[in-house]
Amino acid sequence: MARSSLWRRVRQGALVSVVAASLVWIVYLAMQPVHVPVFEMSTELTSRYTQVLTGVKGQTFVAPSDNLSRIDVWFRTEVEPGEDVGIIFSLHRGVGSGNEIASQTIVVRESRDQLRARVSFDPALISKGDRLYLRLTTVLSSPRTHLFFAYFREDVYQDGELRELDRIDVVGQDLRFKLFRDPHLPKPLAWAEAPIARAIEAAGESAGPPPWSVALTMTVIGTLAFAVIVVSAVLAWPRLVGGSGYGNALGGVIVLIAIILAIVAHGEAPIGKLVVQLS
Amino acid sequence: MTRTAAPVAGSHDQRASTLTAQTQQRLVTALIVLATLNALLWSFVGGPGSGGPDEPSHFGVVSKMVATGGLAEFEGYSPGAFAAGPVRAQVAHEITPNAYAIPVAAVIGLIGSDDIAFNIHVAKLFSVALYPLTLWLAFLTFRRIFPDSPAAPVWGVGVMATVPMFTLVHSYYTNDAPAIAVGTLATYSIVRAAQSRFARRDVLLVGVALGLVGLHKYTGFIAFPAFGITLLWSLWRHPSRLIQTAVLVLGIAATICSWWYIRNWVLYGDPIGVAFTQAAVDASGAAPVPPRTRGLNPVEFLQESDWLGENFATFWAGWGLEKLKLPGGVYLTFLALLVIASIGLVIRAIRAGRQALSSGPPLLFIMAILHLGLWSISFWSSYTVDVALSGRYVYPTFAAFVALMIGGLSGVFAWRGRMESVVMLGVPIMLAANGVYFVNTLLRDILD
Repeated sequence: MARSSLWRRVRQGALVSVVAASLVWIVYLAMQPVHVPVFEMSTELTSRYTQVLTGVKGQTFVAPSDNLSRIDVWFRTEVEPGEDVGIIFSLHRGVGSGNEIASQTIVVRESRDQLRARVSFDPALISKGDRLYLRLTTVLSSPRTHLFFAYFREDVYQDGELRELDRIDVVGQDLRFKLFRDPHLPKPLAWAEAPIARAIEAAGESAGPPPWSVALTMTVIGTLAFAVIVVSAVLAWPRLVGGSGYGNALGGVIVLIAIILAIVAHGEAPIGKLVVQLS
Repeated sequence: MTRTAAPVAGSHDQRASTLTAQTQQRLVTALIVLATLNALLWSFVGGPGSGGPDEPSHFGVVSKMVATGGLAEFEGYSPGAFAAGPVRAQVAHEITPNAYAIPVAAVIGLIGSDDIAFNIHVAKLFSVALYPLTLWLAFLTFRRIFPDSPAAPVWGVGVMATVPMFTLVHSYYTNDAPAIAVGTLATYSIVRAAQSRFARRDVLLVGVALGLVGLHKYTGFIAFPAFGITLLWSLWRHPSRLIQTAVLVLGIAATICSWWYIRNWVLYGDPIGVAFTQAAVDASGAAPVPPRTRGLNPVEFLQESDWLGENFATFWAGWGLEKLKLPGGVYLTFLALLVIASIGLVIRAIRAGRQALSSGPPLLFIMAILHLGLWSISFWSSYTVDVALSGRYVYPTFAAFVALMIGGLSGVFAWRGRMESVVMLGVPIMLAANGVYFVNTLLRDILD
């Protein structure tokens, strides 16, 4: 009898912990800044890695919108124990080391594969159409330490080029990068703005229906999907964990939403990424 | 009045399902509405003429129909049409039965404009409109095959509502969506007929379904042998009824669809059109030689074309191994589920034993004939005529595939009690994954 009571308490405790962890995860994601993607490379293309041999690589680009606030780049490092790689991320108007808008230095002390750097900056500094240059200056602590940036051998970005020491080394190559802007709407509407803005843009490029119909369709889909999530959790969770009542059902909804957010929004969580704030 | 499934005797968990028939139906309805709106959204954002494979060719046929006010006629291929690519046509789009193009062309003729993009977006709506029909027929099919598992139809519809490539084929204009709809209707009607041992109403339904199959893409034709085997298995002890039923079903089907083949015969001297198309391909000049003609054996062909990998990749999403659209882990998950389901089907087959011989054809066996049969035809077609590979070619039996998956997975783990809850929780996760695909893959490919 005592053993079964203990077992019940352990299960109850584990359940409460899972729900609490899910809630923390949801709140953590909700607190993250929202960025709306405005440019990225197609999944049809495969990127490669290029080693930084001269100490400076960079990419020129044109700001596709106002409120540009983030650039993501991908890289990998090979670092011997006790060594490190320093990277100076700097954003410039025009090519070269002059006209710096903002910069930041970070140090990586371990070998990492496919590391994503989220380079954020003040959106007020950039206007649509500005010709910009992301400059990546590398400081290696030893010759056995290496840094590689993801890039494309094809000319996948027409408004800029991959640069080596500020010059075009090979014509028609681009760094793998992704551009984001700040949302126009405050949270929680900003969470919906990010996918809806992209879909409206795609429908516009495809001579599709007017923006309001895209936004309305997505809103109905989102609402209906949320209803299915809640109903599924309310029906299935209490039975899965062996309990009943509103508390249990709510716990199920929280856990399921946390799992779904892990699928949907894990890319926006700063976990496993290098967050660089330029100033 | 609601009903719940009976608990499985001897199982460790004998509680009734949490899903009443009413809840099950409401959930499925929500999923179907969701899937349809989703396909509509995908159609909004998909570029006209580049929404998916073969869209320009199929819309070209519709444009010809609008221009001539009748069915499109095949006028041969331009010189060198197949010289550069790896594939040759199997049957010309104008010759392949495609009755669904008739209402599409009629509506575009009525409301279409000089803006081709607008016309293509209108045509896409016809594919979207078929999606709920297909899903509802699949739901009815699953409910009949798995009457004791209320979660099975919900999960099955969930899979069909969220596999990205399946959503995609319902969001752009080709002959796939109608072939899938009539293929699913045929699957449903055969299941009904097998259960009722060909009651009169079901005989009529099968006849109509096979007639409609005959008016659409050839990939749906696997329903004919599946019907034949089901009929033989059900009525072999009653030869006169068997013959009567066969004549009646095929008579109804022929009444509905034979005009298309008579037309082909009159126009091209070839009712099916394969030989005529191949002659036209050869007449166009240099064209790829089919693997069998080149002297490759089936194993060499499999290796050379990467037939398995290419079909597996395009069955779920995207356009091939060169352009994988999902993370590697997702493909591995699908593969693991397939392996587990296959093991479950073997377990079920052993358990069923000889029982089926006396109690009519096992429904999962019919599903296997439908789905695996179509894979076999797809393989033979690639090997002997045209190497063109795509997993979507077997979509007319997608409902059969999902039924096999449910049968296999529930053969390993009974979908009762906690396992039923896990299955139910899988549905919203599938929805989320489809949403991620839309944002991270589809939009990205369109915009960048």
